[in-house]
Amino acid sequence: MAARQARREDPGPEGGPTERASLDAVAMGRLTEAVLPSLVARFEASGLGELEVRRGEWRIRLRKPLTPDPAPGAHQARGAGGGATASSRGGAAASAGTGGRAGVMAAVGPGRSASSSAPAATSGRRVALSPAVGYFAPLEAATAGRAVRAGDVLGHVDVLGVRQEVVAPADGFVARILAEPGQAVEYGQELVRLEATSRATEAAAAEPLGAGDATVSEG
Amino acid sequence: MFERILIANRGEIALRVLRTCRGMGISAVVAYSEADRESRAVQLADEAICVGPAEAKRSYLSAPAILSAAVVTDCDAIHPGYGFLSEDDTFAEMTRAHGLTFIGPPPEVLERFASKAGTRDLLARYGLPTIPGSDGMLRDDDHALVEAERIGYPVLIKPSAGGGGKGMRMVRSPRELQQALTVCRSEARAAFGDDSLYLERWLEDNRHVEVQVVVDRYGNGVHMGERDCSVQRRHQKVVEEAPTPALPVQGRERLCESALEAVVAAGYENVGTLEFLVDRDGNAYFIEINCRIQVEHPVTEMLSGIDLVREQIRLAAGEPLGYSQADVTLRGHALEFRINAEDVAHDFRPQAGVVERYLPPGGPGIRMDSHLFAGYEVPSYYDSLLGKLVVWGPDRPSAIARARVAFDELVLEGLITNVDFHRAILANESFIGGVFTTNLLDRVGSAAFVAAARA
Repeated sequence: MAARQARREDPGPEGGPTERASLDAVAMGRLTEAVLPSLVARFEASGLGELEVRRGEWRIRLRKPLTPDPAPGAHQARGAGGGATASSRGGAAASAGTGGRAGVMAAVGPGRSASSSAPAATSGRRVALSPAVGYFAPLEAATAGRAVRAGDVLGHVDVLGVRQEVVAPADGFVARILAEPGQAVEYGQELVRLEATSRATEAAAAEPLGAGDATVSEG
Repeated sequence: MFERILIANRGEIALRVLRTCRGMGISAVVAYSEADRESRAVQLADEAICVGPAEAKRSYLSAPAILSAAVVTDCDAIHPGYGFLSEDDTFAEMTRAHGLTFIGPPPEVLERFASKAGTRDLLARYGLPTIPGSDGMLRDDDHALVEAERIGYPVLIKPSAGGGGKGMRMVRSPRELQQALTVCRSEARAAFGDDSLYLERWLEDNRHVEVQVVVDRYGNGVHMGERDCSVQRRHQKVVEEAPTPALPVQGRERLCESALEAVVAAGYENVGTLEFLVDRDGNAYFIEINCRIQVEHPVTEMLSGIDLVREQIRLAAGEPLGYSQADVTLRGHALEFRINAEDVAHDFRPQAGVVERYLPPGGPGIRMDSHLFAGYEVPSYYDSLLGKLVVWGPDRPSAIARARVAFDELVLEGLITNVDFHRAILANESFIGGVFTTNLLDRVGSAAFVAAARA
């Protein structure tokens, strides 16, 4: 039962010939050049917290930070180059944040809703949970005392070679990484504990952790 | 032999597979969804791993989640149970690509038997009689009308994928056919992600009889007799039994032998079931094959004394069958009653809730396969099967008598179940007389059926 459905969504064994890769690159280019600018404009004008658009094998997701941002135009656009997360359908990384998005609409369009794509966080606790079963790889920069904002990527879980993002559920500071790099983790497992205020006195705490900070070395 | 098996299922079948793994000295890892954290299988497992949220599509039906769970827990095989990924050839192929074994037929065998229409043609070539049906899948409404005219009304609309009665309708006229096609397509698309349909001639007053086969990869096979699953409502089985009261001994043997011969010749492997419809005159027509362990497998285990899950595991590991047809002895009569959390009075609406009290029946010939315990919360996300009461007796009347005693003994409180419905069946003259047909319940109406038994 449901065999056919699973077949289309799986990062099945059929991926990867070179023609396909170049077709993908073309599709990607079209998305970022033609679609993205108008998408960002409409997203800004809307009151939405998150927007997802699918074209064939590709999808683009835009997300605003959780906290009300005073500066217009500072809407967080993350991911490679173009400023949005674009991933292949098979790769379907669960890049959405967890709950706490009260009052703001989540996903729009045919994609699954953002709030349902991440494990349910225990109420009030600031813990980033594992989005899937696999091997954990924390981001090097996500060290104790580091300031993070809701939606920041703190690491990945490797699911059969496909990376799924571990996302900060709220603003705060990294208190503790709860699993070792390379450790097998299950869905919903607590991976990174955050705290509301920093106990660490390092100056590092002042600088928020963004997607571009992946190269910051450990102190 | 395998050292560690991932059980990728839930409910009673997860527990059933776990028990056999234990008996074989194989350690068992149970993959579960967030909704099944407190389940019996999780409690008893050597290790349990959460694979996703309650929604089956993202847990039990997610091939990457299940496979990743097997990889990170160092399993060397995956038992899919029934439903979910149990007949998914792509999943079986992915499993193999990651160096693990899928416990069931190998991927190419699953693929060969994946399409119902294709399988019907394949096994017809190896001598099995089939019901006249449409030539392949229906292309559109016009094609359906032409084919239905050729086959002759009434016809049954069936989806190519899946089971459980979804997307199936019997229609008596071109007008009914046109209306039903749209409904069946959308049901099939929603349930299986595939809306291809085909037609079969409808047999009035038919019986559902299926043959259990066990075949190794070296071409050795045995059948373990048949099961009668004629007590159905809307194409869903309610009570199963063996042997079938529908056929005399010679007819049963002939059916089982021809079924075995055909599947072995067609290259089937592992444990499987061939389903037939038997008409009023005792003619059997092949309808479909199930490439998995079935819900009703305990009926056959009661007669044969053979653990079918163990056979699945052994054969998937490449062991030869090791015995012949002469070694398979079927004794007595067995019945299985599917106990569901459903409200018979309200269109069998599935029920969720907490089991307040649960005391299973016991005694000679009684087997209760269930994951229930007092305090267990039945989640609303999955099918409503609470357990299976399986009863054995030296003959049919004594098995029926034991079943009545067992139902009197069973305590199951806290949610609405179909237990009274089973009592009504046990009091029904057609059932007692062994002449129940697949459309009897739907014709009488289930509510009227239960009321008649009370009067």
